[in-house]
Amino acid sequence: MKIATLTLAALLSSALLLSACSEGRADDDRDDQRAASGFTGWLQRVAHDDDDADTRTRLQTAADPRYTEECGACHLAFPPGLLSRADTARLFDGLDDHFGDNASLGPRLTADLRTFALANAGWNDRATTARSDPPRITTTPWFVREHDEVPARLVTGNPEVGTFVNCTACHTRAEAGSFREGEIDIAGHGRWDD
Amino acid sequence: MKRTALSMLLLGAVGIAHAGAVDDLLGRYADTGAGPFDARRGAAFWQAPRPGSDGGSRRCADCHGNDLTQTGHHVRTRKPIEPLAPSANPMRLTDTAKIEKWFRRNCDWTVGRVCTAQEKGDLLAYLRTL
Repeated sequence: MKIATLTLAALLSSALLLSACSEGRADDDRDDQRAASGFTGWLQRVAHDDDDADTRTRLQTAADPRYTEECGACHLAFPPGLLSRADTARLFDGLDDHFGDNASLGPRLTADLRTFALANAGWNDRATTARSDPPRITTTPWFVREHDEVPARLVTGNPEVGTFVNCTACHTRAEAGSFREGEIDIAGHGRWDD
Repeated sequence: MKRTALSMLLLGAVGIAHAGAVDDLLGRYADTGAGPFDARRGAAFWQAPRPGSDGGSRRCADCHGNDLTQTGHHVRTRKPIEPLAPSANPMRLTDTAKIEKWFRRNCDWTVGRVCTAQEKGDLLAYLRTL
């Protein structure tokens, strides 16, 4: 009897917890007015950090225009907060073979931008450590989780997008460090609503 | 009238900067024993396909596109690349450090090595005509 009551209580708590979680996510997905929706919001939740301003700062890249200029030449100047410190260090230590491209910058600029990126790198190692070698943002747990409902035909099978690394093809304000769900407009497809 | 004069002055300044950077580099390459530089040889170098380290074939146009007055796209990331032709994009070929940086990076990817002073000079001689 006692065991049955405990089991029931545990089941009820789990159900409540699950519904709270899904409620939270649904609210989050619907609410574009919140500064921290989409993956920004999730990053905050996994980090147990509710300081929106802090997250926005970490997703900003404009703080060092050289970062935007150099890292943004071949791809979006990814907000450093999207990748862990250790992974960021690995990337900066191997810029002469950067995913097959020579992205070398010279020693002084490399050191400066490395310092900037490390100071603003992802602080939640579990969420922002890549599962690939070399470390790709697209293999970090938060990225995978945030994009797991996006069908391949809209990205890799979509000639106007082609690859998940092409953030700006869907995230219309990615260059401003904003990835809110309401801003998503998938090239060749349209608005995204999950 | 005043505006026209100012526009001409600005256009002239861009033209001078353009000629300056390319001429400066051609001079430096010549100092190393390279030259004379030939736009047709540069065009051939630009268009030649080369074996890539991934087993495929690589050309400058893979990223810059076939029409250099148009926007290209990075072959891997799809990031738009502004037109390389100075006629379409007056900021191109105006900064010697930038030109050398991209030669260093892109010769490595496309040709699999650094480009020689002769090759870089031929390429600039070609690109400045576009």
